[in-house]
Amino acid sequence: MLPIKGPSTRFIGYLIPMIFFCLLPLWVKEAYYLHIFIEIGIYSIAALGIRLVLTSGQWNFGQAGFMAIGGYTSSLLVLDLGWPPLWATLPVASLFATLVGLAVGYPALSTKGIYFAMITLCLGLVVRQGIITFPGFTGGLIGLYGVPAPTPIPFMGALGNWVVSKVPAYYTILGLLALTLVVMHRIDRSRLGIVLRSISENETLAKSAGINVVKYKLIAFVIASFFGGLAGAFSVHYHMLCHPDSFSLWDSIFMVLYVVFGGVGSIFGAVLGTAVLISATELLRFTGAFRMVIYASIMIVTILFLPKGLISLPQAVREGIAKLRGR
Amino acid sequence: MVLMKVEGVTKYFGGLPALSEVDFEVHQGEILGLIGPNGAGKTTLYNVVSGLYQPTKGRIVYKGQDITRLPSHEVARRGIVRTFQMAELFKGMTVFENTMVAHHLHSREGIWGGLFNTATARRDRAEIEQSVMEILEFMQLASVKDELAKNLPHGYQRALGVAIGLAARPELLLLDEPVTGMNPTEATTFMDILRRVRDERRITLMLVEHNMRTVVGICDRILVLSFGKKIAEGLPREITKNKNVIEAYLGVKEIAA
Repeated sequence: MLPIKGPSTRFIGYLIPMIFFCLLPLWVKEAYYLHIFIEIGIYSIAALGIRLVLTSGQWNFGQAGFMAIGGYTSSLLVLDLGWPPLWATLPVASLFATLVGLAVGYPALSTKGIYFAMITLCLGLVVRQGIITFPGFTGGLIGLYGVPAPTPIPFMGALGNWVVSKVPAYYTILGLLALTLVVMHRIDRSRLGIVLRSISENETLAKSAGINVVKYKLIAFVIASFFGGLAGAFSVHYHMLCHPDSFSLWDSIFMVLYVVFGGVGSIFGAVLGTAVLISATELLRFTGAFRMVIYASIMIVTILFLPKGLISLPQAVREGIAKLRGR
Repeated sequence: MVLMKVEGVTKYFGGLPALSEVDFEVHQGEILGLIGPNGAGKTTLYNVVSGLYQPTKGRIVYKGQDITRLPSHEVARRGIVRTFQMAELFKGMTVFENTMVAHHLHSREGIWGGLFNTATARRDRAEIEQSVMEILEFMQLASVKDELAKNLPHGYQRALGVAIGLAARPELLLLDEPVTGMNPTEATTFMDILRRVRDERRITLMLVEHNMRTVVGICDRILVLSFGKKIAEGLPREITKNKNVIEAYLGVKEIAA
């Protein structure tokens, strides 16, 4: 008997937020707010990949590099080879990022701890440098302008024009995020999830219990690359622009922060962290020059008081109350 | 029948020999004790056999195959599984999950099965759940299956260490000081469980232990290491009378006096 809730409670628990987010555009009409939700969706998908790698105890600082690979692959397939935008290019771009993840991950994962983090960090830089070095192919520092919006498909057409309205993009990213969450949830519950956690808990013991730790870390990293590529490919068609600065080292670092801030313990931690911190950058705009100071302070205080991330807030409150009552 | 043969195993750390020219055999179905004073090389020997360290010299043959250079997860796959001296566990995971980790070896769920929750995957999971519970019941841990490993009392943690090992379906289980830190009653109960591991599950055991009495009580044969060298091997009653062993344990002077 696994310590999980029955299917009915679980189902309703997910159904309510799902309905809420599906109906959201009925209340939220302003493009700016929908834009924020879409950005949160894009980065959540990539951050969920980082979180999966982190459950096995590895720090992935190269996720923006995989977003870039996904983004450029999709852009170039459309601009140079004339593929119809997004629906066909999205899986191809994601799979290409996966392949790169496999090629880089195998040698990188034979190293441990900080070295793996450094290799992923360098990977992000190498991808960027590669983009800049071949401007004829990638547009270099100017980037690729006029990446077309997705070809309308029957269902999406009813939601309005992609270029004019944010609604079709909103539903697309909502669907992609839901898909990512289902996959990540399944992984967490499956033996793969348990094995990944066991590696981060005690690698030597895991080895002695017969776990090929490099193989499992690689599986996590490759899955993360897929979702990095997916997020990147969507984002270029949404922004209709593919530019090296959209996938910088800062993006990689911030995504790791989203995951840690939200909490690694649950898949919703990564989404919550991304949502809160992206909203915070927007909400703190009025503070002008102090924006990053306040932003960083919020982050430090949260991590100090909630080492398991923002997602553990209810649990921390409950424990706090229990402690007060105990006195 | 010889299950494992260790031939001339030598292990240097820097210039210092932790093991030198150690030879011995493990017979199928026996409980082999491994004793020796602190620093005799017992844990090093385990680390070499289980593939965590590579020996400087010598080889290890298991069921007729040379396994000297295999990585530890591969050694575990072949059937040699070890437990650790201190209660090494997956501390932040439940007892059930701890036992399930090693069980993965025998699962057919695979990644796709887990992702798509296929019928085969579900059936496999039910089977594995049953088998994990069987191991937990055997180790008398069923009542704490949902507790986090780090919250368990010491004796239970030790039992869980063995449960993790059993889940990997070993043929040879290497136990490192399984009853250290237990009171005599706990130790006796635990030794009974270990005997049942051999008798009922047909697993050959090798056992490092400091406590002479426990070793003599349970082991069929005993191997004695001192300063990385094998100084004696034989039946418990021979070992307790062996002059070299007494010297190694008590020191020469005391004997002379």
